[in-house]
Amino acid sequence: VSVVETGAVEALWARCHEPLLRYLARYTGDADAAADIAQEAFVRLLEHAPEEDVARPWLFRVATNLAHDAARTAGRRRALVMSGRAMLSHSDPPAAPDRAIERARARAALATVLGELSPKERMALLMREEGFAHHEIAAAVGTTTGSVGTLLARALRKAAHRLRSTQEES
Amino acid sequence: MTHLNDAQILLLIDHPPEPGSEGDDARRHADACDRCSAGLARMREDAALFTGWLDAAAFEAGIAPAATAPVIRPRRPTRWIPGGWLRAAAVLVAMAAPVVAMPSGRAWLAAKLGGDAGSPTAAVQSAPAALTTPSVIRFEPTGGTLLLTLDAVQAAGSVAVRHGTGIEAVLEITGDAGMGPVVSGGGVRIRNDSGSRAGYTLLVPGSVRRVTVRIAEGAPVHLDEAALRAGATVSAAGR
Repeated sequence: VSVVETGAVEALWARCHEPLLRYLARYTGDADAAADIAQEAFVRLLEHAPEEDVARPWLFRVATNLAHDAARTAGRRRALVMSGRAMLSHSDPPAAPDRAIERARARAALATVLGELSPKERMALLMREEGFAHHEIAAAVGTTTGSVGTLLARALRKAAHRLRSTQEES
Repeated sequence: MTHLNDAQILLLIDHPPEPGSEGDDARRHADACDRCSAGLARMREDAALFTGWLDAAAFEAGIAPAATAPVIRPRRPTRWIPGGWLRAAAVLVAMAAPVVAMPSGRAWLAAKLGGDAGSPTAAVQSAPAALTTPSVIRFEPTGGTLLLTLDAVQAAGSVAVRHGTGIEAVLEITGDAGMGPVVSGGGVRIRNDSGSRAGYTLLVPGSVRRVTVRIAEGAPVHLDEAALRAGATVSAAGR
């Protein structure tokens, strides 16, 4: 039964919109782009009406694909303003300078770490942070439940190793 | 039982098995095995470290509250239609509407986000007002110097320059800065006006050794590395 037929879209919105925004902000490094992509992903959900029981991972997979499309477009434009991995967003709330530096530093480090992961690893790791079960992550990244654990563990180990190095350097 | 692999260890962390269930064998093994319990502890540390950095980065901090607050709107009032046959047609259309008038995804989304411009009535529940947010400009300084120019002496406001390693060059503008900034190879020009009260925070990476702030026709202020490290502030309202 499709998510639209059951009228579950409202519930899905309530449950998923904020986690999806957070996931996309982390995935793209850009909160403004995340908001746009999340909206488009929900539009696609309504248009394609996936089965209700897979709608949540479906939404995240489509949003991830949209993020890749957006990154390609941005890459072609190569604008100086808002280019590449954004450090801060246009809509960032004001922060004390020290806090802003701290946040910028963390974003730079994570941008490097996440950029070194494969798209599947990055997607899986950030979906895990949103509380997805391993079988849901597997469905979203297009692998088996058996192998998604290996993918996640490898990604986590790589990310943690890199972040520890960053901590030691600073 | 053989030692647990990384996937099994992560599964124990993410989906702890019920006591006595099939997966509980792995947990019992980890409890009894030094090597696997060490692996479990290491994986927990890795996961906590990654989550901690994500929290510190707060990528999601810039998401406007309005985007997360669904807005409930009242129904559009029914319009009176003159003429008997027109009224009959209106009834037929109204009956068919639930069947044929499935709202497009974009229309539904516009309503969710409070962007339904066609609604004749005000929203019942307004989304929270967005915070006063700074504009954030990123740029790439060339060489070790950076020039920040303000076209006019402002009514109020200041330029705070902050120096740090591991960051990119970013200019945050809080408040109305007139026509907006122009980014050039060597720095940023702010096309402000004399009535502006905007504030500026310039974050510069460690590779930048010298920042020059020029305000209108005034003498440029040169900030060397020591001044940058100390966190210099220059008044945008003249001296």
